[in-house]
Formats: sequence, structure tokens, C-alpha cells
Amino acid sequence: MSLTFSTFIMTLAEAIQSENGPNLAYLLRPTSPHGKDLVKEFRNPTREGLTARYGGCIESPWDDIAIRYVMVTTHIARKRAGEAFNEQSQLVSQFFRYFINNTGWTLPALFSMLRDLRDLAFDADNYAKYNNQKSECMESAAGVVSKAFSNCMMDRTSPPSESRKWGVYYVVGLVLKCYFRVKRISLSKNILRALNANPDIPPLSEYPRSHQVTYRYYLGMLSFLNEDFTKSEQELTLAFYHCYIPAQSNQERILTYLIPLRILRGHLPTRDLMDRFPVLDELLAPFVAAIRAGDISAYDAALQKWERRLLELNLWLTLERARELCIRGLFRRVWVATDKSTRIPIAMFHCSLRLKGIDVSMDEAECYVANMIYQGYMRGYISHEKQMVVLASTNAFPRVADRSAPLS
Amino acid sequence: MSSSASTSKPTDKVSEKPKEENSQPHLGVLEEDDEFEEFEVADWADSDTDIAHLGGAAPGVAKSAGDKLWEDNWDDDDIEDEFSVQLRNELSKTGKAAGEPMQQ
Repeated sequence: MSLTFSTFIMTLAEAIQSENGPNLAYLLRPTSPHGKDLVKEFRNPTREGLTARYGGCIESPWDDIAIRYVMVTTHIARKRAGEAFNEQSQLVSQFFRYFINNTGWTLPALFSMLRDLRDLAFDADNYAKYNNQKSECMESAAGVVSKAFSNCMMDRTSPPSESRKWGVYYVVGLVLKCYFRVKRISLSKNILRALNANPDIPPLSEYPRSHQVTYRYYLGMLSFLNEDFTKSEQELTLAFYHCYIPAQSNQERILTYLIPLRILRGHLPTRDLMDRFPVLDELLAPFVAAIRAGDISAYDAALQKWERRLLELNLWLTLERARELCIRGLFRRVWVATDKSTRIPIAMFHCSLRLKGIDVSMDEAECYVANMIYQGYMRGYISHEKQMVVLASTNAFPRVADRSAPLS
Repeated sequence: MSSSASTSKPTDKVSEKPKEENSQPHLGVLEEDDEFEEFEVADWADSDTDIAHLGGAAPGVAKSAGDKLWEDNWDDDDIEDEFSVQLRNELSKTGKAAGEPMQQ
């Protein structure tokens, strides 16, 4: 049975009357079945025409919202992506007029509308790109979503459990997602600054897990790109452990960055973990295996094989740096081969490098050893005159995980 | 918030990217245009997460502290392979040549 605009208005009024957020979200979603009915009912509607006929049929701003909803669905059906996006932006702006004067009961609808807005921006930009036109809908969407952030944040009247502040993290996650999409990541600072300037919101851990995980993922990614690896590792760790296991591809995205960071920290992923993520296994297992075996030639081969992909993922530098762990493994094998002697000629380390195809001079080999000692991978000193490495009698090769400040 | 059927998914592209001359293996989820996906549900229990793997430990530790997904002690003193043999051969040579400069 198809739904008429009049019935749609009545159903809308009921959802508002009963403060039914999920239902409101459903009614205003362009993909809901009644969207098609309304497109058929009006064929070629204009906003002016609809307003002349239906303006005032329901309390403002809902009349305008309902009319814009018809326009959005019509534009989508006619494949006018840019117009659909503009109409949805206006719809959301009209919705804000209600939103800011009420409790957070409408949050499910807000989230759904913003998501649709972002999807429409994505389509509009893609469509424009395909036709070699300029389009900045995604930036514009980020602006609307940021506005929603302020509107959530400034709730000073709702009872705590119904506060609009429960929308804050979801909305921030969406803003960050917009900026990442258009690669204008530096703009994220503004919204994060605004978020941190407001201590008066519930702790993150009290928000739904979907909000927590998305927010932490983007925060972790931002920290990663800003080379704050310590912070990045913390955020991505929490994102991973609180992530919904059936959301496999999200877990995979988190681990793409978390695994290299944890490798640097001296925590290698186990087979159990890698077996669950075949794509990451293919990319990262060669590095992990080379580190375990101290096989620097295998490590360098993996770096070379995956160079382009690693550069695309911004992971090249991290794995280049983790090469140190492999050198440590190699030198540790020298030490084991000497029956854990405390005095090992530099020539032995030189030889181990050369056996693995690292064609360096004796002086360079000495530098490798010096660097290992300096970085805390080996404990001891070098007697340059005697060309001898003197190692600590206990714990000459501390566990990598025990190094202090491994990520700084 | 649940069942968020949106108008488009980032995965259905308006414009298909031309296939690159690709020597690099394909990486499904890690392809450039993919992004962090909307969760299908808003909230979930500990049992739907990897917290269960921690065995009560805090996130951020490794196997030795109860997390079986990460290994922080992989040093093996018993690897016997060709490389070990080569190293020991070299060692006996170096031992004899102690004090003298190594021959390249």
C-alpha cells in the first residue's frame, strides 16, 4: 500500500508527538519505502508549489522539512546528485531549528540525516568529478555537521540522560570522516579543540561503543599522521578492543596501523590474530617473520615488495623504522652463536650483515652496533681501538617491549 | 541508529577507477577509496569484542601479561639453520685471527 503525502505528514506528527527518535529517523530517510511513493505522487514537484499547497499543514519547521524531504527523494530518483545534496542541507538546517529547542530525543534522526547528507555529498562530488566539474559538497557537508556539533554541545537545559550532548562524539566522528575523505585533515584540529574546550560532557566510555570506536579510530589516525605514535597506539588499541567483532573490515582498518605501531613497541601479532585478517597477514607477515628470525635480507625484500602499497598507506616510515628490530634479531643471533660471549669482535657483526647481503664496510657495521646500543636494543659498549663489542653480562639483549619510550 | 540504510555506500562508485598496472597484490579493504564503515548497531556487549582475549588484562599488553593476540617474547636461542652454521664457521676463523684486521 502506498503512502500519500497527507498520511506521511500525519505519521510525522505522531512521531514528533510521541518523541519517537528511531521512527522519525526512518520517516526522513530517503531510502525508506515511502520515499518512492512520494516521488510518484508528485512527479515534478517544486518547493514553491509544495509550500503553497502544504505550508502550515503541520507545526513549523516540520512542514518545510516534509516538503524538502519530497524534494530530496525526487532529486535522488532523477539522479540530480548536487540538487539532492543542497536540498538535504536545507532540510538539516530546518531541522536544527527544532533540535536546539528540545531534548536529545531526536538524536537518532539527527545521526541518520547527517549520514545521508554525507552520502549525498559523496555522490554529488563523485558525479561532478566524473563530469570534470568542481564540487565541494563534502566540505560543505563538514560545515553542516560541525554546526550539529555546536548544537549538541550547547544543551544546557535537558535532563542529563536526555541531553543532546549524547550526540557529540558521533557527530565529531562524522566531521572527521568528511575531512579525511577530502584529505583536509588539518581542519580536524578546530573541532577537536572545541571538543576539548568543553569538559562538561559525559566521559567517552559512557557513550555507545559505535561512537567510541569511530572517534578513537579517527583520533588514532590523526595522531599517527602527526607522528604522535604513543597517542596513536593508545587510541587505536582501545578502538580495536572495543570494536564490534562482526565489523571485520573496521577491525582490519584499525589493525593496519595498530600492528606496525605495536611491532615498534615490541609486541608482535600472534598467528591467532593474523589468521583472522588474511589481507593484513599477506602484507605484514613477512615483516613479522623476518623480525622473529633476525633475517634482514627477508625484511628488506618485504620492504621492497610492498613499497608502493606501504607509501599509499603512509606506513612506509613506520616499517622502515621497525627494521631496527630485525637488526637487533640479527645481532642477537651473533651473540647466541658466540655462546653469549660478553666480548664479540665487530668483525662478527660485520660478517653477519654481509652474510645477509647487507654490503657495508667495517665502519658502517660499527655504526650499526653503536646505534643498537644507543637505542637500547643492546646493552654494552664498543672498544673502538680493539674493534670489540663488550656486552653486559646480564640482559645483553633486553626484550624490545622493555625499552623505554619505544615510540618516541 | 540501527539499520542505517543510507542512500549510497562508499563502495558503489559512480566512477570506476581504471585498473592500474598492478604488480602489488590486491588488498580489498585497504584500497584507497574505502573508509571506516558505519556500524550496523549502535552498541554491543563485551562478548562481541576482543576484550575477551585479554583474560582480564588491560588493553595494551601482550601474551606474557595475558593477551594471546600479541607476543612480546620471541627470542629463540635454538634456531639451527644454515645461517647459524655460517656464523659459527666465521667465528672460528675470527677467533684464530683475533687481533688481526679482518680480510674482506
